[in-house]
Amino acid sequence: MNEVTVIIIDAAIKAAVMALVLLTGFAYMTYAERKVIAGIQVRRGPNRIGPLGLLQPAADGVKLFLKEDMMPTGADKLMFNLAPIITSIPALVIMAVIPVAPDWIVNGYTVRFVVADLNVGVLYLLAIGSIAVYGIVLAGWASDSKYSMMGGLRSTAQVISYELAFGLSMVGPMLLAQSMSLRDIVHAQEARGIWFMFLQPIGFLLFFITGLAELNRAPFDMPEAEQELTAGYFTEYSSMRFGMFFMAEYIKMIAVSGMVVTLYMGGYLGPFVNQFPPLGIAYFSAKVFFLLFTMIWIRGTLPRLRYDQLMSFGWKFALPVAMLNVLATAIVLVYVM
Amino acid sequence: MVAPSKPITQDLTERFPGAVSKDTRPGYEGYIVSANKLTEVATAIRDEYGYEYLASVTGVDYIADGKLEVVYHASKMSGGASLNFKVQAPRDGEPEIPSLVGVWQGADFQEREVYDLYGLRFSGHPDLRRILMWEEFEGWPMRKDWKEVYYEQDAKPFKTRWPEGSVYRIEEKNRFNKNVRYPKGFDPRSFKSDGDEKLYALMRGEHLPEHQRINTDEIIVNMGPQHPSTHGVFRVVVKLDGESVVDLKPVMGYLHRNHEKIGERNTWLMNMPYTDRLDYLSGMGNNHGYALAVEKLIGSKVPERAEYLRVLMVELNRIANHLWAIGFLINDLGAFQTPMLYLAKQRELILDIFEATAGSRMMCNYMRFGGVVRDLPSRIRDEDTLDFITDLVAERLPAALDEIETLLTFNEIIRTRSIGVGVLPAKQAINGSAAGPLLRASGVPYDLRRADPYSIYDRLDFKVCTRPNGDVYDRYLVRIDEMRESIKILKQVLRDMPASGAIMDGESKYTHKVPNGESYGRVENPKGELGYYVVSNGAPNPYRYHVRAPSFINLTMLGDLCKGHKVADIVVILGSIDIVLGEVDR
Amino acid sequence: MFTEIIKGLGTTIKHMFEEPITIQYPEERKPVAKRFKGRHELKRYDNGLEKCIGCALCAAACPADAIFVQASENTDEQRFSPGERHASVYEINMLRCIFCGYCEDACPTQAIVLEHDYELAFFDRQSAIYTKKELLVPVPDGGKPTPQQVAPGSFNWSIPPMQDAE
Repeated sequence: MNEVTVIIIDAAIKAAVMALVLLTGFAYMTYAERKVIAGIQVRRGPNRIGPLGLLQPAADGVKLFLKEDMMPTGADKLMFNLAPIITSIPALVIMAVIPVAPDWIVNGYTVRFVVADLNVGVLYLLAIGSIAVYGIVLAGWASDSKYSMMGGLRSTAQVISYELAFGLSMVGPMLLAQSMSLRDIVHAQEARGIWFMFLQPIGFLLFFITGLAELNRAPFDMPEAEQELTAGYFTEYSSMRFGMFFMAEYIKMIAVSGMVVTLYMGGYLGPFVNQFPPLGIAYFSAKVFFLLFTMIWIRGTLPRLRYDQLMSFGWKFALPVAMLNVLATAIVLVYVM
Repeated sequence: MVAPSKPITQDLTERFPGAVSKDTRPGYEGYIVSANKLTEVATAIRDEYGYEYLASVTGVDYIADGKLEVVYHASKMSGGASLNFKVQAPRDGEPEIPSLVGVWQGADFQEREVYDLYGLRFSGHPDLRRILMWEEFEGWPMRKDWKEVYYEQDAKPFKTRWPEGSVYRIEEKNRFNKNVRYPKGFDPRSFKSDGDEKLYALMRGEHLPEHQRINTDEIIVNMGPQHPSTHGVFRVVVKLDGESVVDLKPVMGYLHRNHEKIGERNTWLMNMPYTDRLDYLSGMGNNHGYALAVEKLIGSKVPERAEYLRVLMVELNRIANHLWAIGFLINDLGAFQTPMLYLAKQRELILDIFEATAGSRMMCNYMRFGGVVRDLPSRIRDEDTLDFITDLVAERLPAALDEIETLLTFNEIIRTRSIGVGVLPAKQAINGSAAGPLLRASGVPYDLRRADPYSIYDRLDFKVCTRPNGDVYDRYLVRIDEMRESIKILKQVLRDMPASGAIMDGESKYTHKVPNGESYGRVENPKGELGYYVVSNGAPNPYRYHVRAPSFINLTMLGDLCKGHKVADIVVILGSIDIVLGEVDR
Repeated sequence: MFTEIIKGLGTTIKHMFEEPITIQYPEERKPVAKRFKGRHELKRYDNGLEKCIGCALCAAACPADAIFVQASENTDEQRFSPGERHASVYEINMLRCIFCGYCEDACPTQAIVLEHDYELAFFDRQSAIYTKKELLVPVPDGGKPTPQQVAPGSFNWSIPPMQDAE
């Protein structure tokens, strides 16, 4: 087989595996969320469907497929249908540049555990993350309803505002590793022997918190709070279109966790990972699970911020602190190292 | 409003000769004021005599005399019994009396209710529309000559049940459309309701001059009646400018069950389980208020042990209600039901005590005229009763409250969301007839258990909890303080309760001989002052039965509290007022 | 500011390690209190005679008009209950009943009692009207089913000194 075919087959297999893992991960994220929140609230979660309730996501999926598919009469058909697609696709695609294990040389063939090893990985992450905003705006506007429009506008404003601090928090590890490629960032953490989260604690916290705000998760989930004007931008969506929004949110959660782990928590690093590279997948997964658990834990504990407080937190606190962090890192690197 | 330096002691009849006379009907008290001088007399009562707080406005239909009467009860903030004055108007034609909204703002919703149910207009009322019935409703439901659709007889027990006891179903004899009245020219096929147009036109300001009307940047939005956070079927019409609330009007009546008219059909004792269902979270308190009102007329003396049992149940109910109210408030703030479930765990134990004593967890039907129906059981959930209650009161509840304080009271997010939101100044609270924690969080130390003591509260040692600021955070803190005070009261009750004794004054019976007269019995329910105004004419059924519902009257303030805040705050403010729709709509 | 939030997070995570308090209904059921007001039952005496004498005091006391009683004569050949009368038709409309317990308090023979059954669901309104068939308890051991044929003059009093069924 010639080179090109090998590359194409290689990429196709990895992309398929990644997509499959993400979709299964999304399904069991919903299950894990319900179980963890139930544990916090001293009750059991779903435990009727399948042993320990493990088939609950399958039941939810079947339910969503079988629901009646409604579209408001005044809605713009094309935009209404396009909006969930525009939201879901970037979510799936973000994980393409994140390395989950070191290279593995088996029978003379190098297996690279990353779908696309770009040397501008960080820029790619920022760019794809920004496309998802269009889906929200279109969903809110195309629903032809006052509530959805208001919810869509609020959500969009929130995501755009927090993207600034989100992006600036990514600059710290970039400076420390002196490269934009995610693999180099992980190697840099390996070389220094310490995860960046200890070198850049403020950056780490800020990245995590602004990540929560990007995802519209608690405590920043005002736009989709039921207690407000119903569910915000996806009020008018039902059945599988709603399912796609739902899916996009959870997959983005996994993707953001993946980003945090790669940039700050050492990616796939752990004991014996270079001798037996598939262990890297296990370490990476464990760290991502820990972060997902923390996100669910925060959701179950904290009340939500009001919208104007959320915006002022993003502009008046997160952004200046992120800029100061970058400045301080730069100064330290130039003068000290 | 001028606070008097020393309220004058001249009797009202001397101050306004010719306009005010004493009510001399047997069993009645108070004054009768003539309609044309009403505003003047009311202003004097408020300013010179010092009755700053309007407790209740009630309408009564005296069909035999051809009169409609409106009964006002006013109280002083320093405590004491309430002052009772009445106005009468002829039943026929289009009766009209001056409105007292300019004197006491709290008369607003209550006057609309009297208009809605009796057809008595109030001139000068800023917004006289129906409140509990829908706009195009035809007829005045509470008048004595208005019959409901499946009307059988004027009073229970109905002859078809007892003593003849013959079986037939009234639906077969009295078909649906015998008593329904429609407006003239009504055609159900072509009818289009525009009942809300009046409301929306009011909101858009179409009654205002051109330059003050709504400009097109503002939208009018309905929250409810199907809404996850409005504590029931309750609707709020909001005028929004972007995110800020410009104006807000509550619309209620979706749960109206004609409780007061049913109350006139029931016998005196049959009404007791119906009072359970008013504020269904504090059933014991509702029973207590009704029992007090009727016991005043009958003149029964409640035995010691029964009084202690009553206070035990009422204070446990106060804790249960506040636990639920705080849980829902935090749920409205977005904490995803976690604190609510922690508090519900403790509430379940209180409900177990109710279940073991009275037989059911919420609608207990526990009190009777002259005492309570059953004594405490010997065991609750396999533990000795007094041990169970003592353990709950002395150990579990304080521990749960401490945990909630750690989790919530100093939480930065809750503080940012609730401090400074929905501030109610003290003067406006008094003038608007706010009651309960809403009033006390604005710094007014008015608690009926201290101001006008009933039962054995004058022997118990507890504080009246107030907070200075009157925002949502203070209302939350006042409820936590009140729970701690209730725990203190419960400890005293458990210590001082006589070990045995009668629990009922006299024999238990089903028909009571209640002498002629009127009475206003009130208790400090967890939500505010719950008052029952009953009028008896010697029959086995009440002649008039009215409930002064605290949630209903507290809602008068909702519009003013929300102006200037964001949409997200409406739900929080509503949660802090703590309404229960069973009481608001009756 | 963050310390309070961390303390709050600590409180919630502590609860994760507690035993959940959920009861797996309908496999497990929480036992109700002894005085719990559930579905009504018409009781019998030890010897099988019904306690209900058809006086309809329960129907008079009921605030919701849920009870219909029609009384008929007892003869010694066809005796349902001690005394002169028994209830030939006894219906409770469970959709109207508010479970207040007044019927239980008003009954002079303690015939109608609210027992512990709370699982009452119906598919149509007609089946919500419980007649004697659903309300009467089964005949206790040692008793005979009603109607009974008795020696004349043995059960003339409505509230006789007889043994209760339990």
